[in-house]
Amino acid sequence: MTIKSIARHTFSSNEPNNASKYFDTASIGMQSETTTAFVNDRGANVAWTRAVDTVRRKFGHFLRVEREQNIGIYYNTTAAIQRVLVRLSRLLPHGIGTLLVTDIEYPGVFAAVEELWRGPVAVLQLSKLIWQPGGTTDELLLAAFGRALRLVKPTVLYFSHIARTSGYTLPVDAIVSLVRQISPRTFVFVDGAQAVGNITVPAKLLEQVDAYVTSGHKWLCGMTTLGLLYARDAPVWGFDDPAQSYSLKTLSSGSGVIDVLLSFQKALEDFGGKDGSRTLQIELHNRGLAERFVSLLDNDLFDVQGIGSRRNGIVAFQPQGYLGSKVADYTFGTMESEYLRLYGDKRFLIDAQDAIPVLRELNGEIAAETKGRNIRRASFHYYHSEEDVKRFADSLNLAAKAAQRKSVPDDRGGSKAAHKRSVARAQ
Amino acid sequence: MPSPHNIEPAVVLLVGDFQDAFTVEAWKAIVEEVVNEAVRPASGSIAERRMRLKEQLLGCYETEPVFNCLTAFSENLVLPLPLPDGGVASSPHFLSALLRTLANYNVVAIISSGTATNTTHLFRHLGPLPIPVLVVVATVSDLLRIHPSERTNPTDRHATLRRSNALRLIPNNERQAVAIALQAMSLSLTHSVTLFDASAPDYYVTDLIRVLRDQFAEASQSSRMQLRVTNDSSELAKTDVGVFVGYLSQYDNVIAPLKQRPKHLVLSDGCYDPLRWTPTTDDIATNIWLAQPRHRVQTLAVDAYAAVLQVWRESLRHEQHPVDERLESATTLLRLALEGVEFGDRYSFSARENTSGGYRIDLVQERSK
Repeated sequence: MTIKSIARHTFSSNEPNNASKYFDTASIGMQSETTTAFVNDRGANVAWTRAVDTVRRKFGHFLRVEREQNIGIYYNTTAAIQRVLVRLSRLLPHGIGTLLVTDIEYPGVFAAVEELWRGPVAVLQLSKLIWQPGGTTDELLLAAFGRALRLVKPTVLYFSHIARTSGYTLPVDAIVSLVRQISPRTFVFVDGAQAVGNITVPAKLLEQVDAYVTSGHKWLCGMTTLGLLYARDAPVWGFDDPAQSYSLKTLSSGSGVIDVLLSFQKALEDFGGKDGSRTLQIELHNRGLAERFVSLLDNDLFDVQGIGSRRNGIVAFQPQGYLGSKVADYTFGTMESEYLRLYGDKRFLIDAQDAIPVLRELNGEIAAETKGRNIRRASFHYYHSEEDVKRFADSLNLAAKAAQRKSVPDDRGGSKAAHKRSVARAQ
Repeated sequence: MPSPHNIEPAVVLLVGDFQDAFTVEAWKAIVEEVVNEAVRPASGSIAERRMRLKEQLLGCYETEPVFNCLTAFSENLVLPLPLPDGGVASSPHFLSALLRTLANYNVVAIISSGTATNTTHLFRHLGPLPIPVLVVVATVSDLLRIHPSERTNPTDRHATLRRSNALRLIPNNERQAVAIALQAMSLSLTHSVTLFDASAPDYYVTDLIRVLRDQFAEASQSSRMQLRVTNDSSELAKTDVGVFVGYLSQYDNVIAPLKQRPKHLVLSDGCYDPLRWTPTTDDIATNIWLAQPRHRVQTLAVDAYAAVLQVWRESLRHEQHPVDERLESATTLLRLALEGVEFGDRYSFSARENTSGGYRIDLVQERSK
């Protein structure tokens, strides 16, 4: 499928460094030339209040929600998440409630939780399910959520719509349905940073959850950085003055950047369409490219985590050990150094696979899902083409083969072939 | 979980020793209530259906069969399930059964009819899980208080933490101690009361004795009233008014065999057993005065169940509640429900303790066998 985009970028296999930006690991989309031109050509006097309001209106229109006034604008997604956590802490009796999160979340979210959440925190270890050989299924994930919800009866449940590392699209509607059966009062807080602009997010879903955050600069390709929050029960949030960067009140506008607002307004036009057909088209395009990429990668050189029908524009792949830094040039490095830290005596782990759950107390570092997995990730946006993807996959395969020929041992113990020989010798 | 309605049923656990009369009485009372709720007048041949369901549930103290029996009625109902602690809630077996039950069933609250010690173990097992526990039998004030020693003792940390999610429906020992002390003082002609201290390793006994000592110490400042404490049963026998704090089994082993007994013997509510004692007005060789809560365990257990049902049904209408209301803890909602008009004036909570109701002291005699 070909997507008509306003402006096309190019990718040359002779410029490996370009790949890390072009297929960005963090899914930060590239601003189109039209958007850039629009921002550059703006008049000197763009009313701040009007810019903020226009973003809310256009984004509300894009989401197809009825109440655009329920949209809040923040410096980035993490700032929006922090705002919700702070507000919830204020609303909670004595500021204490139980929070259930998963271990596949962005490390910055854990940092925010650590700083802002006073009550018990339960961490559901979904990574074991997602990264198990052969991948996982919605049924297994729902069973894990069910066990955790029954155990914890959380005041707040926070999870990602799309797992940022593996790219697995979680069955949000089924999870919400489970929550409403098991713990109806639970506040459901969904992080759609990797979802909006990558897949279609139905307006109905936004009304089922209590808060939904996303980003303007990732899959929607606005200028960095912008965080957006939609909350159906708006009055408790005070969106008129979100107190962080993008206030509607000119005098308290903080450090908000008007170019970011203008860029986002323009970028949204590329995703427009009253009936949502354009977003569905983009979803299919992104998924198609991702699947194409997977099929083109040499499976002797790369392992791709199977996520079945839950694929979208994200592909997580694990180069074999011999590739070392060669592939890093193309893939924005690894996420090996990520860590999740929670301290205190009210933090505990729930193993998603335990038939009889054990509450493991944690006080310190949790192994992030990326730890020890040598994961690289590529993102396929609406502006990529099949040719781009082919060139990218070919570049990776060539780089890997070149490294294999040299058989340069790296910190992961040498080539796959060498590893196989050593295993055979050992046997 | 299997459900004919494809909706996961809510469950309330009754935890206790089903060899014990208190727990059995609580279970019977809850079964009566749930049968009435499950088989509504519209369902035809009500009496027969109620009887059949009741027969299936009474005497069945295993979680799964009870669940299977009740799932047909799960819509808009909270299913009560028994979870026996076997009298030893500290055992790994009980911990495993508890966690398995919590993971497999949607347990929205727990009613504890175990002893004080076992309720403490239950708290510890639950750790930081915020499931509300409604205590209907264990009568020890220490259960719900935070002691400085516990704050630094990691093994007690979760037992302490859990207390914020507990509600004690039965009044605390201070109220019982006041009732026992006043009764004993009013009976004594010699301004002396003897307390038998068997030094049982039990929260209930040690706590009640401590509070009784405090009561008498306070009384002695304004009167000649004295409290003598002994662990020699023969000393107790010689006295005019004796107080025994402990359980019925200890009473049977230590006090009942005595040939000579005090003129008046006041027993704590640990000796209460509906099958053992009956009220009397007869003046017999030893007048036995039994302390018991004004509201019996059956009443408290049914109230606990009814409050859970009320809160759950309200929770199902979550979409009508604004966010700030939905964030209220289940324990607070249960407290507010119990303080409502539907429950008369049986509950008025100060922190997590019911200060309403209190204790009464009745003159009793052994039931004829």
